[in-house]
Amino acid sequence: MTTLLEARRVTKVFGGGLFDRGPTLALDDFSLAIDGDRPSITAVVGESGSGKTTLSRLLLGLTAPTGGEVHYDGRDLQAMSRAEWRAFRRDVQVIFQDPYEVYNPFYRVDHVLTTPVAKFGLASSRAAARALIEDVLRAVGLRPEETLGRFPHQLSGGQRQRVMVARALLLKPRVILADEPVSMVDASLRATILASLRRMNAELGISIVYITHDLATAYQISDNIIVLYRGSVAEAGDVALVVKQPRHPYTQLLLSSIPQASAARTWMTENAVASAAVHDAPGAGCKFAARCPSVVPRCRETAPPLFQTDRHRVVSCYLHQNAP
Amino acid sequence: MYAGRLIEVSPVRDIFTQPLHPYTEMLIASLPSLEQKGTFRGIPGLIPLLRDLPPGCAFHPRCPHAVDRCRVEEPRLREIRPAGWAACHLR
Repeated sequence: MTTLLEARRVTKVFGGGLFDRGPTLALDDFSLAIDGDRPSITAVVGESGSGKTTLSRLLLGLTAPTGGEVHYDGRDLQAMSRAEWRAFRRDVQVIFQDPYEVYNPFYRVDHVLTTPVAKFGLASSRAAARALIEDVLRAVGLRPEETLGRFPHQLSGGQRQRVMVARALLLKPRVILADEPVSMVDASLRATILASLRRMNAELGISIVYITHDLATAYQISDNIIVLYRGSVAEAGDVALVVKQPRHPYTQLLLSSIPQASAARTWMTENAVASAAVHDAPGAGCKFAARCPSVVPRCRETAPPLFQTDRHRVVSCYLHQNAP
Repeated sequence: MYAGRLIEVSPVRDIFTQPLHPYTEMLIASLPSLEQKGTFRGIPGLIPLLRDLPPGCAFHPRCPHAVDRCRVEEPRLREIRPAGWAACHLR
């Protein structure tokens, strides 16, 4: 196995300066490996404040880890040469949550597509560039004649986001990092955009890191899943195992609080323990201890490591330390 | 609503269990489910441009059940069942 993109025991701490009230541990000893030989879809799931955005910024090399390293093709992102950095920026593409913020309102949407073509020399002529752009637009279900030549505000949110997916495709990347790509579009478009991500994975061999707060879409498109809780991995592994037989109390709680559009299933409300706003207990211990229905004294003393409970799953919980 | 028009009005339970309009039905089918993997899909095609609506039912280019009448005559919102209104020729 050659590892394409890898986070090695990454920790990120914000603040802690002279006038701060104390440092914030955004990501704690986090590891992730994206296999280069077998393209996969890995979902990273967590609620607001769990460290998802910090993780995406670290994986993109936009911010440096406080501890640990992020590697691409065996090279530390923070120690890359200009040429390596340029290759990285071509191979690893990102799709952000808000397709409005990405566009400059004074330029036509064509600008976000022609810039990478020019910057990376993807086409030898204007006609070739135009053909290439039309191809990727069609690949994401847009009609080029209805899309090109318009200003961002003339497109719908779903169209803008699909142009972003098209832009990512343009560079024929090896990895696409999609950070909440569908949280601002309607149900039909969400399904369409996620289906196009899955198709890129299956047909073009692009690995995808899908960062989301939504377990249901994560289950639908990914092979592996990592459940984050306040910067730490609660549970990770095969998506069917984690979603169908969740072991960590936090994963169980997340799953029970998903509304389902089915008459057979009523929406279980989060219990009082879970919804109470609880602050991190200072110092050691499991971060979920304050909200956990199965907490034991030991949880408050030492944070549990990741226990391997199945062949394709790890859980950070003492309940599962003696799993076969 | 679809393309600026009301296409279905029903109590929320009925909408989810027995949607009347094909658009409602397909929209619900695009919700991700935790029950079964690989079951959700979006509605093919794009929302029409409001200044250039297709003739007849605005949804007909994307509707798997469309018949000739849908392409020429715009359906009106009718009461199909008690408290259940839909704008669809097939109902």
